[in-house]
Amino acid sequence: MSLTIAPDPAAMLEAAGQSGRHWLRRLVERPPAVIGLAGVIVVVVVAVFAPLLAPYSPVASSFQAVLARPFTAGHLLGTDELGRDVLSRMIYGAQPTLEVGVLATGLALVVGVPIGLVSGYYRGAADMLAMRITDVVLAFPFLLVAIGLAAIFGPSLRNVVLALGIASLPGFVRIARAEAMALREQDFVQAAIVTGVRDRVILFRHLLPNMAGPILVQATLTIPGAILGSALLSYLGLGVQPPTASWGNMLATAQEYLFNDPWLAVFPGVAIFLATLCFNLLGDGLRDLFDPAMR
Amino acid sequence: MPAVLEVDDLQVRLFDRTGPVLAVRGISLSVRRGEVVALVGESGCGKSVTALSLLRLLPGDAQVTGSVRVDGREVLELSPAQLRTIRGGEVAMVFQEPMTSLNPAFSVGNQIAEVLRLHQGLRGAQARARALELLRMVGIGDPEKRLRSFPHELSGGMRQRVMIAMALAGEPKLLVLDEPTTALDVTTQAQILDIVRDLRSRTGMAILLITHDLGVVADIADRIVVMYAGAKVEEADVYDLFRAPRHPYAAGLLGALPGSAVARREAGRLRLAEIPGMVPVLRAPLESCAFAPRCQRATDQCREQPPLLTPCGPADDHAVACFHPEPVATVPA
Amino acid sequence: MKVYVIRRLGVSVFTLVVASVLVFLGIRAVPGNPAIALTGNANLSPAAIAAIEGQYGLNKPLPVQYADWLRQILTGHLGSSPVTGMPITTELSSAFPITVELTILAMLIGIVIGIPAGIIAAVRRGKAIDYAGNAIALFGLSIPSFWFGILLILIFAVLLRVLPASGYVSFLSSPGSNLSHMVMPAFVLGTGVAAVLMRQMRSGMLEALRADYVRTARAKGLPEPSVVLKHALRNSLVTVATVIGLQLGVLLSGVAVTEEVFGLPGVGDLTINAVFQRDYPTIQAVALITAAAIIVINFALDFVYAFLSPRVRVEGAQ
Ligand SMILES: Nc1ncnc2c1ncn2[C@@H]1O[C@H](COP(=O)(O)OP(=O)(O)OP(=O)(O)O)[C@@H](O)[C@H]1O
Ligand code: SF4
Ligand SMILES: [Mg+2]
Repeated sequence: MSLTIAPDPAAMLEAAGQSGRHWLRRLVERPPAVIGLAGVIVVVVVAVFAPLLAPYSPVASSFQAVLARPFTAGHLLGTDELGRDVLSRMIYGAQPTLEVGVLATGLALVVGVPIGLVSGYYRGAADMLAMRITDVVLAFPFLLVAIGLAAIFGPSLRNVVLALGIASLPGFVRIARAEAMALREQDFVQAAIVTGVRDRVILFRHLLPNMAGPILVQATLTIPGAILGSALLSYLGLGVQPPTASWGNMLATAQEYLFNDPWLAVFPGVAIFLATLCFNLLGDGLRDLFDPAMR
Repeated sequence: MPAVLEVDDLQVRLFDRTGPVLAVRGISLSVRRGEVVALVGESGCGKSVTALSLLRLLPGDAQVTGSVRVDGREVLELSPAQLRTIRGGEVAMVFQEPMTSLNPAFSVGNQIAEVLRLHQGLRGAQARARALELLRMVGIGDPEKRLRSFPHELSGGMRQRVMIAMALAGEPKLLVLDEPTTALDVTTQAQILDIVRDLRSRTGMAILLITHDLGVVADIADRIVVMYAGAKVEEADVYDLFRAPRHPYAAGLLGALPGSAVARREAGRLRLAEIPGMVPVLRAPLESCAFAPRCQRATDQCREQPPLLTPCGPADDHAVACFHPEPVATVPA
Repeated sequence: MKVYVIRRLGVSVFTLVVASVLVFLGIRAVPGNPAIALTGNANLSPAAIAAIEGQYGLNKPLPVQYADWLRQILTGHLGSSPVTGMPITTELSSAFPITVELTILAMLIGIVIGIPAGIIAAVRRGKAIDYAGNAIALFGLSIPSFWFGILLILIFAVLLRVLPASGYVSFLSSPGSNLSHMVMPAFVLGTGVAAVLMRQMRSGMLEALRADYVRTARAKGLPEPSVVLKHALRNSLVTVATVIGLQLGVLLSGVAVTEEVFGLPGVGDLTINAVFQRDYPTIQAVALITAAAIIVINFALDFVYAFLSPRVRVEGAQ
């Protein structure tokens, strides 16, 4: 026999606390999310320990072995048109990719969340301003922003981060704004407002922690977009400049050798695809946790 | 007179995030032509789930057993096409949530016309004329304009009137009203109830009225079925039940009710939560009386086996599920 | 409705003005003298610089320069490219149709695949077809469009030799050849759009299918296709319209890179070449036109939005 009392606030709080404590465990119960998490960890490890993992220097050319096929001459993935070890370039290429993904997302989060928070909480003029800012941002494709920045400052990784960070801004503003508007109406926030708690405390103690979940989901789903964007920009020559390796610029050169040495175009593409896929899998898994109805 | 609706030993098992919920545990009831039967009980006792299972509107994973017969046809065994003739045609339903039950994307006229087309074969000007008539019937002013209105342009009371008009559009034999007034203010509640009372006298339609407001019941119901934790605990003629409730839960509900029906109406919406404790969510069959934790008359027997529904006189259609029913004299008329 | 239109129009005009100011100031932010930026000639004598400054009005105060610039643009004078010497309007008018054709084809493919797939996945939630749809969408979302393009070239142009690897033929001169050049790039972009639309459609549809009004629709006795395709669809399309607006920038960036991969001389290709040739006037013109296009499309989407969701006609889009 089991008899539980339906809407017991204490029990509900406890259940909420439990779900908070075990969200990692619940995440791990989802195979796609686990694959995603594992893939993300692999990418991070490869990027961080690139110097230890790469068999060769990513920029050392060897004119004895130009365009060596995979599995030949001691090069697992072959060599490129300058005789550089493709595997080593792939390993080092993880660095700018991950860097851009994380930094651009971080930038958008750090700028976008406070804007959304304030606009959703105060509404009125602040909201108006925030919405007009996102309108303007949305009017410029990230490629155009990157082109503008490259025209002004010359191509660099920093521009790519900036361009993708700006382009990802509206997503964070929208989420934080919607959450702030919803949370504002909740009893505990209303109570805090009525008892005269200072706005700053309400915003950062009451609202911000309670929107951590959706923001985390948004961040995890923004990273793969930023990775794709950074690959796209560096394919176009607007990102990391050669000889530094990135998956995107490796693909750009590979396209010139497509007819005779197509494998050069396969590996970096697969790497971008898998890294993006893993972040998406992880992000979807997290979203399902916080919003099970959408599963 | 044959019953329009006959429900026999209806059991519904639902699933929420934590597991199965035994939402309805063997409900039997019948509603005859021209009769208003009230289904009462506290929030969460399974009233809406019972109503939804009449038209098989529960989520796909719901497990429903027993029998629901409309005009003698077994609803639980109908093919989807047959079911659609019952839904909105023989049985119409007005839901508890007037604010969200109308589609925000379509005009009132459009949504009423759908029913007229499906069940009355009316189109164009005919459908329009009938829709206007229905809106007038439920007391909506300026029906021409309202036909073109979208739900967001209407108040809660107006929306509920539209829902009732929409339900009447199919000229159903049975109208199920699931707490039609709970979400509304007192004046609007009274107006909606007047419409229901008027319908009853004019159309002779069978009505199943779900509520947790006993004041409503006293006014318009013929018979009352009292539900607790998914099961029927008492059933009686409205007069008998108000005069001498036998189940401690029903007595508790009535005891919480002050004064005459008029005074009660004026006191506004009356909740049944005056009995200490709450309706349990049952996840496995009980081997006791579900009300025992809250019952002042409970004995060891009540905690060891569930009571069965038995006739309890003096009237022969009075039945109660209790080992120690209230003596007839405790509540003076 | 009238209030709504006026308000949205005001917002669009405001956004357009701010965007144009940003574009205008952008070229002034290019390091060095704007005269050099505008002519692309780094070896100008001071006298020549002064002459150009006079010609372009660069010695006037900024607001006046902005007003002059705006007036020129509004009368159709976008200047000429310092690299090719051609009027920018001429270059754009040959590039524009290519980009528009590619974008429209991609949107069509995306809508035709994405919307029905999303609906089916939502209706068959938790079934095999839902999982398959989700998995395919996730692939479409994660695959870099330019790499996908390169792979298609590898397969259909290099290995099978059934489609041209790159280049463009106008539709008017040869429809068949035009389409054979467009099919791969449009497919590459279209699958990306389809993936986004499918996911959005699915979640919007799941939400709508849970709504009370869907239960009402079923209770009326409507057949399931009407319940889904009339009552639920209308409301879930609202979120899809929103997402299209939000994704325009990503889509157009994708269009540009796809043009580059397939050697299509569209606006994206024009712009990317302009960056490497320091052709600032062209970049400026493209930036302005793109921003204007996005703002106009978003304004149009506001109407779609109002049509789908009558409430916003009264309360405004936010
Ligand atoms: N879709 C569902 N899935 C799982 N459990 C449900 C679902 N709908 C209702 N329940 C559970 O079934 C029980 C009965 O709910 P029901 O809505 O029938 O109560 P009610 O008597 O109509 O209450 P109220 O007066 O609040 O409307 C409750 O415990 C509720 O939590
Ligand atoms: S059976 Fe026992 S516990 Fe249940 S209502 Fe009757 S007296 Fe109370
Ligand atoms: Mg209910």
